[in-house]
Amino acid sequence: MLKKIIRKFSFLRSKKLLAVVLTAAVLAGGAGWYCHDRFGSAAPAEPAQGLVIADSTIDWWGNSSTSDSQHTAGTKIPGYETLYASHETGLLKTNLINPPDNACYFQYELSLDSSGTILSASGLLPPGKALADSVITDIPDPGTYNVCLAVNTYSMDGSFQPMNGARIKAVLVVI
Amino acid sequence: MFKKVLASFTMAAAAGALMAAPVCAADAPQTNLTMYEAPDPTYTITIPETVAVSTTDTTLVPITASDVSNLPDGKKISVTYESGNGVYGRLYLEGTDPDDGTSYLMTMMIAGTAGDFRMGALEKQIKGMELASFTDNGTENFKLYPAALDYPDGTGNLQIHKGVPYTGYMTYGIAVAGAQPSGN
Repeated sequence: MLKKIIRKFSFLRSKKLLAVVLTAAVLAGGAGWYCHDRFGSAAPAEPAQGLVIADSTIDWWGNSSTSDSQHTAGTKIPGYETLYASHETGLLKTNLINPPDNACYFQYELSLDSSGTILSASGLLPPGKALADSVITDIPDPGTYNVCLAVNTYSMDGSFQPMNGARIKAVLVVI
Repeated sequence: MFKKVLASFTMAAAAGALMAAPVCAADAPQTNLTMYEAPDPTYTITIPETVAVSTTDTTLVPITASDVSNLPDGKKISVTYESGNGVYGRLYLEGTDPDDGTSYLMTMMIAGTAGDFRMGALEKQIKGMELASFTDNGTENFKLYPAALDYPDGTGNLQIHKGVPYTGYMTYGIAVAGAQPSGN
């Protein structure tokens, strides 16, 4: 008899506990919703046009004489003659960089010259950075392809305005 | 005793090998193998971030090549006009009158390495026009001026409207090409 009472009592206690937990969760959710709604505008501005800052980058401080000594006003576009990619992993083995002197974001877009098919599009690359793991999503069969490497540039003032860019003719070697 | 004999044989064999080696080298025909693939050309092209186009005169726009190396003989770095804002192969600057909201555009005349000014469209295409070419480090200018300068009495889009901020952008083509003049 005593055991039954204890069991019933503990059952009631666990039900109460459950009710308390559920109420707390509902209140926390509501508070979170309110805060998101109320203070959401304070979050940092996202780049327009679906652009995002590339998250997989490495520092690149260059190895050229102009990087350190002679600053030339304007946007520096590095030349690429041959790009290498692994068919097995889809990784681009050539570092795509944004020289440190630049005052704009780079966004690289690699496409096949023949069809215009876009093979890879990077996020926004800040100056002094190189893309670390650029993946070609639909990598072609091993071989050599004429490609176009578009260098789209965007202002760094928060408005992400398109600036003067370039399209580099290159060769992609898939190994 | 056995060790001494073994040592003697070893020394004799080593001496024989030393004496025989030059004879073998002199007698055996050999082919020296070499292999070399020229490194890819490297370079940096600097394009202007912004260009303030003159409303009264031709504007020189500098393009700079730096860190040029390994460029093969007979090749050049060619910088061309690839695209910009505008239609029918033309380059427009666009602006809106802040007072009445009227939209305007101004077609640009461009001259590259060939020297002649073009407006774009049809046989006067500017897409692919070579603006500068380099075989070494250096700076070259291409030229721009608003088409309105050719129409002093022009109206509408053949006139530069005071107080209207015109803007536009250009995309350049960059390639290593044959040293012959390229573009149109």
